[in-house]
Amino acid sequence: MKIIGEKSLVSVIKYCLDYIYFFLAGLSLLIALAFLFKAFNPDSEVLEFYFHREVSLSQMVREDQNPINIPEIFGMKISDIKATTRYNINHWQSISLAFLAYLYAMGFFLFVVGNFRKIFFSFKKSEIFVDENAKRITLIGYALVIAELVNFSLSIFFDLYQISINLLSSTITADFNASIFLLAIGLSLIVLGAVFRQGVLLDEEQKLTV
Amino acid sequence: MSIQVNLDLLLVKRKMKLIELSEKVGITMANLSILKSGKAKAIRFSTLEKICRVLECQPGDLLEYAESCEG
Repeated sequence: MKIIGEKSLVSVIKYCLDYIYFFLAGLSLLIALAFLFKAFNPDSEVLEFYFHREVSLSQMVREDQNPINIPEIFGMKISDIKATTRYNINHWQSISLAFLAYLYAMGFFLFVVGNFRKIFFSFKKSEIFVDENAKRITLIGYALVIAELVNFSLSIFFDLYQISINLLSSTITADFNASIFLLAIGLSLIVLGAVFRQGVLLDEEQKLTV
Repeated sequence: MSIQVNLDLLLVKRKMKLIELSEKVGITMANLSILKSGKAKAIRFSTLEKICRVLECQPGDLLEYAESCEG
């Protein structure tokens, strides 16, 4: 099976990435329009969004102002159990916050998928060790690392767990959980970018060897 | 680069054109142009041998070390 070049595995992956990229771009546009509509019609049900937060049961009890006798099971208080609550606030501040969260999530996905598309397009043309590819791989690596650090900060300062949108009776979810796995992939991609740059230098030297 | 390639000088002395050398040596015109213009980063022993054989010269006649201005 041919891996690199025309009509190869790389070209199949490139077509898949094209599909994902244009799907995400269309979805982003649709969400942006829905937010615009929601900003002018806060009570409409075209777009409903929820902020998900992870809270302990004791916090929920306190929030409800309904003091109950919390029992203990095997030495563990039920109040320590974490639960996920969701908020639906139709207020311009929460609408703006949700819009910013989606802008960040969609922007990140479009950036990563867009760069991967360009990398696979150059692989399809059998142009592998080019400076642009080294730059793109490094950029994706930095984007992943920064996104994971931002998610980690968000989870510390805002206790924001997840945000979901009910758009035209379908739910789209953006997760803000920091992942060590993605952070490791990001760091590996930065290293891979540096390796690619070495490859570019070797390729250039090989081309200029008579 | 402090290594100079005197290919053009040798071609004038031998009254030979670059295309003629390319045919005799079996190296593409593109590669010979890279060598002639001084853009080449390395030269294979096999290439050097072929050029020396065709031009009836020594490697020292083709390559020359010159002190570069960059230091």
